Amino acid sequence: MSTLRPYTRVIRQQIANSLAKLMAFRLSFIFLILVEVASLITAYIPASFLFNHVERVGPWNRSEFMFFIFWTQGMFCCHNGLVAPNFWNFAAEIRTGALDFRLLRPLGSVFDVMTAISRPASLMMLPISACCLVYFGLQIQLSILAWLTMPFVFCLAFLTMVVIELNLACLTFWTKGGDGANFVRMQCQQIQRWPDFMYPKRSRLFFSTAIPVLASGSFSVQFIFDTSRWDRIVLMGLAALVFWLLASYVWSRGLRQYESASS
Amino acid sequence: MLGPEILKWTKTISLSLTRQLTYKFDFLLTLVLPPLVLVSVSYALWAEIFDREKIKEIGGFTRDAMLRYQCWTFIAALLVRGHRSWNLSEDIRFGRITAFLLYPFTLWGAYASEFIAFQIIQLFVVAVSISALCLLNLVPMIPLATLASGLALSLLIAALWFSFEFLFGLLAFWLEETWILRYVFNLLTITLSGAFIPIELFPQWLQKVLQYTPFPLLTSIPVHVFLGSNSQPTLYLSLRVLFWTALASLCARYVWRRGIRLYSASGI
Repeated sequence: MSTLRPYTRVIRQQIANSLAKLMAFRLSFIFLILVEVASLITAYIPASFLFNHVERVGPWNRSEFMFFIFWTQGMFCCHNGLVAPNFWNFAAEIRTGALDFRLLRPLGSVFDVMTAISRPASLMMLPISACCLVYFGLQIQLSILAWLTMPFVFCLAFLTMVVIELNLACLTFWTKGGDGANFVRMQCQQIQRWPDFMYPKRSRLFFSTAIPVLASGSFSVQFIFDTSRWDRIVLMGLAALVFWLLASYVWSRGLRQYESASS
Repeated sequence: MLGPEILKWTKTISLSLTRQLTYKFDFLLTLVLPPLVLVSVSYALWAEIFDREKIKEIGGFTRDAMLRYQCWTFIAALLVRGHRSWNLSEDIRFGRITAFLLYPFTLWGAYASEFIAFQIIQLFVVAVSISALCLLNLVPMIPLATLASGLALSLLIAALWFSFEFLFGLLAFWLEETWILRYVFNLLTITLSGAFIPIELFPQWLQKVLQYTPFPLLTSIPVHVFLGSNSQPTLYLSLRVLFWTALASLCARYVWRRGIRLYSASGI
């Protein structure tokens, strides 16, 4: 309990800082909401136009496909609000040497780096995604078990996504510019934005096992649609665990590789 | 009189070329990977739609025509939507543009040189990409005149994209974070320019509205020029591009004049 106390205090302070910043830079706040609105609309529009011309995409009809779109969109809302700014900040801190100050603090370095910044404005679109999820979920008549397990599956999917991205972000220790690793991470998001069945067999296998970005989006929704497919959840949990262990190893190797720019 | 001016430009372009190619791996990750992933995803999506449902035609596109369209969007994206001017807002906020107020070379000149250097590199990347697409039989060989016309128009449109990005960057005189505007514009471009779904599949009313915006110029039109399926004369298209470029440049000029009055050079 005493180990956890400093961490909870830091989180509390971070939330207070983020809210203070939110109130201080109101225009930025509005713009961040604009980003989320644009992101939601630009995810919905192509899928909607597509279904004006076709009945199904793969095994899914319009409602199922839209459910998937808003599921991933919800995950991206949480990602943009809680995690994404920290990845960019991490790259900048490695470049400038500001990471030194984080390493000196009496906190776990991964925790400190990944909770440095949050953007509550991005989280404000989460209820809209949730409403759309419920709307399309009702249309496809999800089972009670699916509704009950949905929050848990969502959290697990989000966690899996973050852990995989953490591994990719560790590339920043080795690439000089720093932005490159973030671009790889963003491209992985582009891949998980679409269901796994539309990828060719080899790509699907690669992105389900080697870099399992498809696990977080597709596997979780496949379980929601068919709750008898527990293997999807097990695989996703396994991916999260393996990639967490891998991230711990890569992070410690990266720290050894790190040459502070400020000292 | 022109000699020293040309020398300034060539020196700055050469310097930009060296700078951009210093971290080659990072360059590839930031500028070649995003359009490559985008086109791979859209290629896979369309192949899946056509193959699984055994559809013959969607919105006038056969399977092969759609997949060729997607391949050419990659080439158009490399040439048109690549320039990275995200340093501009940072330069303004951190007071780094002071140097350009003192140098005998303008800030716009420096960024335009960087843009030209970038386009030179991208022409090589595009040459390699087109060769690879042809060798992999993903697109057929096209007549040289069509290729030249497509490349010329794409380069002209790249200047339009540069003007927009420069304009967004200059807003840093007022805004803390200008990446938001660039990001939203980029999202809208990918959706509304036909980069993912061809504009021909959009509802009629939206297609009509888009004709009065620069979005179709940013992907759909250059791709149709490459495919040889464009019905409008290239001269007319070039004039449309020039109109939007002039408009964006005039706005940038106005914003610069207003913004520079607010600028306080840190470090002096």
